[in-house]
Amino acid sequence: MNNQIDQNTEPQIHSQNNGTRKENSGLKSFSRLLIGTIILGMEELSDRMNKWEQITRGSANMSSSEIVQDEGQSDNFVKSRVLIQDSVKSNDISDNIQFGLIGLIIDSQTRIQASSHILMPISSTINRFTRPFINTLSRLPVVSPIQKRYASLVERGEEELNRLILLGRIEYEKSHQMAEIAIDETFDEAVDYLATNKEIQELIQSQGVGLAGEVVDEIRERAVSADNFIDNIVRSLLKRKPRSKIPPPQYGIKSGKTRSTELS
Amino acid sequence: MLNSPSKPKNLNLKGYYAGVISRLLAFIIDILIVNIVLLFIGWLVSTSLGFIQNLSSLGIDVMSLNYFTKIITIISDPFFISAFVLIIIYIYFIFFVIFSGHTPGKAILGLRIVTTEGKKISFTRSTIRFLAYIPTLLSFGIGFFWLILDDQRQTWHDTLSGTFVVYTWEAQPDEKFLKGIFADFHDQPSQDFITDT
Repeated sequence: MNNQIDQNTEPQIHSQNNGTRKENSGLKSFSRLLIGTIILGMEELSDRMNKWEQITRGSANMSSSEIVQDEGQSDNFVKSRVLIQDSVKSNDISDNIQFGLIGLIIDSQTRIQASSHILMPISSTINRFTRPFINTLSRLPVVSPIQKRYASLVERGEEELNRLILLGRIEYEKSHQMAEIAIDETFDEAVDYLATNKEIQELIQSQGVGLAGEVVDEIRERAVSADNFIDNIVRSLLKRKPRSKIPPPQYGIKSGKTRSTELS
Repeated sequence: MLNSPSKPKNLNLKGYYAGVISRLLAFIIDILIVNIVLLFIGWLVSTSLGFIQNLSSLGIDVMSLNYFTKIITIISDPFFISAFVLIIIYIYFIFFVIFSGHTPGKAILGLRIVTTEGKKISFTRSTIRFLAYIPTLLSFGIGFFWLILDDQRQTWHDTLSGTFVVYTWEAQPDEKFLKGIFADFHDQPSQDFITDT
């Protein structure tokens, strides 16, 4: 689609339709936003669907290869089919209806796609047969006024269609931009709110500090354990007095609620 | 001395001499911090010099100035670099120890340096302690690991400077961790290790 549309053409297009209408009415903006969001959403969804489709294909290939392996090993293929049927039967009725509907949708799509290949040649064949008759009919003098009328109608229709296409192109661009701005602003506002909200900040801080404190405590405890462990091993190997029989420091740091750095 | 073997949960080693692993971990953390600081300074200096050198492309020929060439010569001298690194390490170890009694590494592990009388370490004593690192390092670690055998868990630099390193928190061994270790050492009497301090 040609995205580079001359923005000056827009007033002309609108003036043809309704010259008195205001350009930036709320309803119009809302429509643009809605269209833009749908466009962006569809684009995003399309991208994601392509990815999901690829992943699904990958996993389907894997499962089919497993089935082929089963077939190659023995005649378990029939058994696996029976197992699938059993598993279907064992499900709830609601599940069966759900799966049945999904299957119907997918199957219908496949059938329509397949039948379109058949219908196209049939349509062209019918066209080929009926064209001589239509041509003869169109040459009759009785039909010429109707034909002129028809031609003018077609011309007007084409003009109207072209106008709508041009308007659609301009609106597509505008809606796209508007939705992008709306999403960006909303996102920025949300981030600002999260960054400036004191309650959230305190929550994150307390969680972070709490976690860091727990990690430090764990490291300290393990270090103390390892201290004693290594001490005892080395001292027992060298036949020295166990650490537990050595007197503690004469001074000391009072245990309890006193600050850890306060020495007595 | 401490608690009975039946109640190992009540062990509290606050004020007791710190062991080898705690001190080694604290030292490693300190070394890491010093390295990060030195790397940052190095990056800052090299970036600044590179920027000044690139000024010549803008028509400002700084390299022709004598004093700038002299600065580059001094900075790139290995002796200067060694002295600078040593000064940074000295400042790091002295500054924190004088003001709070521990380096950041020791603070994380809940350790503190005190004099043999249990008092706060002074500037002179901390400088002596810093210089006493030299024999400890020259002994390929023997001077450090000496604390395992020493009754008061003193390294050589502790002994030379008349200091102790003690736990400043309600130090308790992690029993689950110890049990995990003992699972690999079936021959050892586990309860003794848990209760012995």
